[in-house]
Order: sequence, then C-alpha cells, then structure tokens
Amino acid sequence: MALIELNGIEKVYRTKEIETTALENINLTVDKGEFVSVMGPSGCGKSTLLNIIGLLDKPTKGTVKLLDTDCSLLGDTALSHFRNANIGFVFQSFHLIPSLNVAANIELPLTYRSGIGAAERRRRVDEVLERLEMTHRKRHLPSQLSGGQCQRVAIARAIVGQPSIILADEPTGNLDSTMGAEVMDLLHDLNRKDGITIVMVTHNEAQAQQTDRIVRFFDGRIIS
Amino acid sequence: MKNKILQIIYDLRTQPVIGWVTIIGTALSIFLIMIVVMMQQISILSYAPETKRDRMLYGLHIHIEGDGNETGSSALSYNLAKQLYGDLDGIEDISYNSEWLTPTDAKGTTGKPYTVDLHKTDDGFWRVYEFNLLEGRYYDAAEVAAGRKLAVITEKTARKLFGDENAIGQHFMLDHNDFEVIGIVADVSKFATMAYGEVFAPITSESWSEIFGDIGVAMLVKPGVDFEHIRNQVKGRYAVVDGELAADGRQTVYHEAPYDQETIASGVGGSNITPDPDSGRYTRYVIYAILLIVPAINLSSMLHSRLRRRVNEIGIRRAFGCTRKRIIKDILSESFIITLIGGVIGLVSAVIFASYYGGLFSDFGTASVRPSLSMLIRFQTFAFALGACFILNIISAAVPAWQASRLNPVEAINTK
Ligand SMILES: Nc1ncnc2c1ncn2[C@@H]1O[C@H](COP(=O)(O)OP(=O)(O)OP(=O)(O)O)[C@@H](O)[C@H]1O
Ligand SMILES: [Mg+2]
Repeated sequence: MALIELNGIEKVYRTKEIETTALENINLTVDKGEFVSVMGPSGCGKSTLLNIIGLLDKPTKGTVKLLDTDCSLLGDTALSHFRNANIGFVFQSFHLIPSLNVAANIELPLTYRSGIGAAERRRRVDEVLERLEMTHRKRHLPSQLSGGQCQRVAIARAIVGQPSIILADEPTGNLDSTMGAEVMDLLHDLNRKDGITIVMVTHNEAQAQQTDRIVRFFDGRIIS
Repeated sequence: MKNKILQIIYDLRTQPVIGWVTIIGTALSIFLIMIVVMMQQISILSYAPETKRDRMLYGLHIHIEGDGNETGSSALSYNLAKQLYGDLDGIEDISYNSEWLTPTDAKGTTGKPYTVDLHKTDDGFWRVYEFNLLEGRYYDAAEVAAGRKLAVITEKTARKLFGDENAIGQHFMLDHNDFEVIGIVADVSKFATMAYGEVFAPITSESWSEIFGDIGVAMLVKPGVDFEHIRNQVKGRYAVVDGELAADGRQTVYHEAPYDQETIASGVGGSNITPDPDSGRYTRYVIYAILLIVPAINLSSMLHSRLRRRVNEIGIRRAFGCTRKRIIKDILSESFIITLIGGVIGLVSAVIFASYYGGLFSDFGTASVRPSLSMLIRFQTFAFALGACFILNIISAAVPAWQASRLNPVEAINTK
C-alpha cells in the first residue's frame, strides 16, 4: 500500500531574477513500512523533496498524497494537524529547542495535539525516554548533551506522537561514526518493530545500502 | 504555562538586556498610567465620607445676567437654594451647607491658637455623607434651626484643641464665639472636596440678599433615578426664577446644574461657564493613549528582536504541528506574562509613589495631603492596571506575533 505518493512534482525557487529549479517532474511512491534512502550530490534537491513530503513547503506543480489524502488541498491548520499526527522530523543539526529541557523537547508534538492530558503526555514521554535510554538526562538542557544524545532526543521527539512517517535529513551528518551507527540502529529498530515508514537523506553509501531502497538524485531529477 | 515561564527565565538569562529593558519599560508605562488613573479615581470613586459619589448631585452657584444689583455669579442664598433644589422628585436626601470653607481661628483648652477649616452645614449633611463618628453625636434639625453653637470636630482638631483630654462636652472659641463639642469624627481627606472640613457647625441662614449667599447644595439621588430627571426639574425651577427676575431686566443663565461627581472632579471652572466633563475625559484618554502607544512601539521592537533569536524554534514548532494561530496565541500569552510582571512592578511603584507624593494629586498644592492607601488600593485600580497591561500587550505584541506566524517553516528551520 502506498503511503507517500508524489506526482509530477516541480519546485522552482524564484529570487530576484534568478530561477532555480530544485525539483523537476518527480514521481515517487513509498509503501507502508518501507525504509528509503535518498542520495545525491549537494544541491540536487534532496532536502527540498523531504520538505515537500513533510508538508513544510508547497510544490510549484504536482500533487502530494500522504495516507491517501491529497494534501495539496489542505489549509495551514489542517496541514499542521496532519504533520502533527503523521510525520516525525529528524534533522542533521538536531534542532532541539535550547530553552526546553529534554522532557519538554520530547513532549513538544503532544502539546499541539488536542484531547491528550498532561498525565498522558508525561507517561508517553517517559516511555520513549526509557526506550531510547535517555531517562537519566530527562531534566537536562540540550546544551548539556553530546551530539549523539541530542539526536536520540530528537528521535524521541519524532516518535512520541506515534507518526506513520519519519523524515530524516542527514540524521548522522553531524555525528561521528560510532554515534552515527547507533542512530542508524535506532531507525532500523523503529522501522522493523514499529512499522514506521522512513525516508532518509544520506551521503553515506554504507548506510544507504542497509535500507530497503535507494533513490538517487541528480540536478533535481530522480536518476534511479 | 510552566514552559512559558521557563522560557521567560531562559530569555532573561540569555538576553538579559532586552529582557530587563522590556520589563522595566512596561513597568514605567504602567506606573505613569496608574498615576493618572489614581488621580482620576481619587476624584471620582467613593470613599468615606463621600461614600455615595455615584449618586451625588451638587447645586453650587447661580449665574445672573442683566443690569443692576446682584448680577454675575455666586453661591446661593438659603432661600434660592431651597427654591431651586428643595423637594425635588427622586431625591433621597439633601444638605444645605457652606459652599466654601472659612479658615477660622480656634482656641481650646490647650490654649494654643489653631486655624481650622470651618464647614457650616445643616443636619442633612450627616445623612448625604457617611462620616466615621468616633464619639458623641451630630447636631439635629432643631439645633440647626435654633442656631445652636455646637460643633463636630475631627480627631486631629480635637487633639490640637484639647490635647489628650476627652473633647466631648468641652468648649472652645471659634472666632470669638463659644462652641461646645458634641461629636468627634475621623479625619477627612482633602480629596473629599465636598465633605471636607476640620470643624463642622450648624449653618446660619444669614443670606446677605435674596439671591446670592454662601450655600451649596448636596443631593443624594435615589438609587436608579436618572440624573437627567433631576436636571429637568431644576431647569423648570430656573424658569420660575427667570419669571421673577424679568421685572427688573435680569435673567438666569443655566449651566447644566446640578453637577455630578465627574463634573465636579473635572473642575467646575468659573461659576459663569458651563462645565464640560467630556473635555477632561478626552484629555485623559489622549494621555492614556500616549502612555500606552509610545512604550508599546518600544516594547514591540524589543519583542521583535527577542523573537528574531527564536526563528529557528518557531520553524521547529511549526514542523511538529503548531498552527499559525497557536504561534500567535503562544507569543501573545508569553508576552502577556512579561507585561504582567512589569505591570505589577509599575502598579506597586505607583501606589508607593502616590502615597508619598500625594501633593501631586491635589488642587491644594500642599504636599501634606496624602491619599490614604485605601483610596489607592482598590479593585478598580487593579482592574484598570490589568486592562492597561492587556492593551499594552496587544498593541506591542500583535505585529511581531503575526509576523512570526507568517514565517516560512523551511526558512525558519534553516535560520541559525
Ligand atoms: N529558499 C530557497 N531559495 C532559493 N533557492 C533555494 C532555496 N532552498 C533551496 N534552494 C536551491 O534549491 C536547490 C536544492 O536545494 P536542497 O537544499 O534541496 O539541496 P540538497 O540536495 O539538500 O543539498 P545538500 O546535500 O547540500 O543538503 C539548491 O540549488 C538550492 O540552492
Ligand atoms: Mg540538504
């Protein structure tokens, strides 16, 4: 069953006389439970693609269908709710909120969800903390954590709302190889045990080889 | 809520200058507004002995045009006061008392001469106002009619005249006349301009002519009766007086009498002009607007720079499902907390300031007149301060919050 369906996606950035075509006629389908890696040289449009799948950006042309919903038609509020319910983001530079401690960072997606009380939120946060073995860092601020720990917290935040899709943009890009490997194990674990569909951008061929499928990009197009 | 407070603490730690300037700026703005509000409240709101200001109407002077005797404007004779204001429909009680105070030399058992503010009143005075009678009693209608030399004096006056002795039943000299003290009341603030006095004695209706005199009328309107209803009757009485004056070519000029507390507070001005409480109100609104808008512009740019450091955070929140509306709501409520902190500081400083520098508030220009804390600390003051904080917050935070909500999430996330 197709969870992500991109049809004829085109993304053109217009900035003062310069037009950049970041994506050109992209057709891509990702099935439920798949772990797909996206590879390609710098500037070829990988992040742009992820942002469009993640409903953070709108394509210039084409349609995005997630979980059988045509998201091109949704307004800001509906898109926000859709992201909140179905998508978890993991970024290269973690993007934790510096003023919030680990628990509060992880809780973030739940605070934007209606009908879930404080006690339930705390319970779920504790659950993912336990799973990612970060319970002892619960009250720490991001600035007090190592890069690897930050990325674990970021992953905890991405999964706390039990999304069906994780979008990871170079999740190991800022980590050394040991910590990178740990993060990869975590993602595989989430994919296998929880059936979460993952689309991951990576520059690491070895990591890509471990995933179900590699989508290769060049200059805004899929080449294989 | 807890996270918002943590965020504020974090902001104060990481950007102390911007944070504290914001709080102090807010405090200053609320401080200035509260000073103006308190000045206004002291002149309008009820406190002892003027406890029913919202139901009071005052008939003060009359303005007469024409040739010959008794033209111009002045306070009323007892007869004219009665003719204009006596037995009106909708009045619960009325007092005829001297419109102005007479500084009068007094001498008691201490032997030290002391100048008191003498307020001559009838017995109704004790009913339209609510004095705090500490000891003794007030004089009654019969005693006033008989012109008895009795006096109700304030606590402070009692001390000045009789020292530690019990003042009740004591005699003292008031401008070479012997008076007996029958009652002692709590001191009256000079802010209670209509009821103020240090010595109260029965008014003698010695009017020096038919029209002018020294009487002012204080009326307590029945609850629920429209002031216009009273004014319309008074207008009719003026017409009657006009009929009597027409014979010798004179006529009254009606200046919207009687006056309510707000009109009195805005300054009745000359006795021959129509007072305009609206002008005072508009001036006040303009002052409030300036006191809110000027700091709001400043606070707005402060908030803007605080938010600029948090663009990345806003992008992240958007990615995890925060709607635009929620961004606006969160920024407004976070900045409201800061505004409230500043507001509390401003309000407290204003109360402290006002109770020490009360002279600023009074028409008397004497620094010794201090508003009491109970005049300053009242529900309306807090409500107004809260309202001012709210408005200040809305006008200072609305634009930055709206801008933050319109940020492109992708660009926001990629902002360092
Ligand atoms: N907001 C923008 N305005 C203009 N051009 C942009 C914008 N965002 C991306 N681009 C351009 O679009 C193209 C694709 O960018 P994108 O970030 O998707 O590349 P990428 O494959 O993720 O690169 P990298 O591997 O370096 O992260 C680039 O040429 C980039 O300069
Ligand atoms: Mg990229």
